[in-house]
Amino acid sequence: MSESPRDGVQSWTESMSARERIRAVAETLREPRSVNWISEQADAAWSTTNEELQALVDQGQLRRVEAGETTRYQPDYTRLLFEEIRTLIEENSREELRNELAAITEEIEEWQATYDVETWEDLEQSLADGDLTSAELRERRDVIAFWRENEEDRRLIKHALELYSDVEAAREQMTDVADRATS
Amino acid sequence: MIFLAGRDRYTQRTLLRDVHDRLTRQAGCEDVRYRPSRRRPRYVIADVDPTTFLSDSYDAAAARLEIRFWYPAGVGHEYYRINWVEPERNLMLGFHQDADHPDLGPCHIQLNYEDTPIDRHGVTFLDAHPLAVLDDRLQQFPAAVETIRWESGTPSLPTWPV
Repeated sequence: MSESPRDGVQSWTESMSARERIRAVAETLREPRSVNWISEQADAAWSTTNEELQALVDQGQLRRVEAGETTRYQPDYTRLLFEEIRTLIEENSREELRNELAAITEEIEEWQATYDVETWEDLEQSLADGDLTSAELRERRDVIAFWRENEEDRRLIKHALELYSDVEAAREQMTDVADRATS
Repeated sequence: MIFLAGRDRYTQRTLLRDVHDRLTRQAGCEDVRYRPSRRRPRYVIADVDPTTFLSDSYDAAAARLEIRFWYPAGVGHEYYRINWVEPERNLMLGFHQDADHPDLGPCHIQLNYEDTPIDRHGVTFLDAHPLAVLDDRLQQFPAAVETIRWESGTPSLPTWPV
């Protein structure tokens, strides 16, 4: 095989810029974090991190959280929600979204039949059953996680379908204005 | 609680897109995709050319990376499975941070052969952001697959140093 220097597992410091890494870390935080923490995780200089975080706050991607003496940052979760819906609308046809809803329902119905339960909460209660082997426990824990994720995705996809026409109309209007401006 | 669960889901979707981007930039990774779908991402999968990825000659001609991150209810850190899969030899080596083997600590490395767990060792819990964790684990794979021992056609993972 080639002896190209690009072979082997690159670290993300080799494949992404410091600003890209800072952005990626900051936009996927689950709790407010300091500039120090984010710069350490992104393997980036403190000053670069501080600048990039300010820029993300200015763009509305991040929120600044003041806690006593310390300043922390967290994603704007409302914005994340709307961006997910927007991405679903822009990347998928209505039919694809409807098919995904059907696939989710089908999967949930299979779990209901397999484990003889109605909800993932019922399945969670079955974990206390002392007769289950470790493999069965593992399988059930996995199904509970997938089930919860399915329910959350179903909500998102339903939102996307409800907003589909409005978003499409708004986009067409923007295209019309752009066409008029260039013609 | 429902709001928190939903919030974690948007974070997870964003994270999996970042994982997808990370693998797309990685030498030796091809056809990076979501399973079951981009609309409903649970895993990021990539076909791997082992020689390029490991930067060394390797016994298997093809491998696959299967990566899942998720946020279970009531747990303060993310769970993940970062698996190296060799379909031809029916072998899987993975870093798993989940509820499966609390006796080994929060995170372990596991070798499966023909769908059966063969060996497991506790590994260091990385108290870090998931993308920093992914970076570390990916870089540990060359050493990890080198640790696999084959005897009479059966693999084992006698030790894991970290």
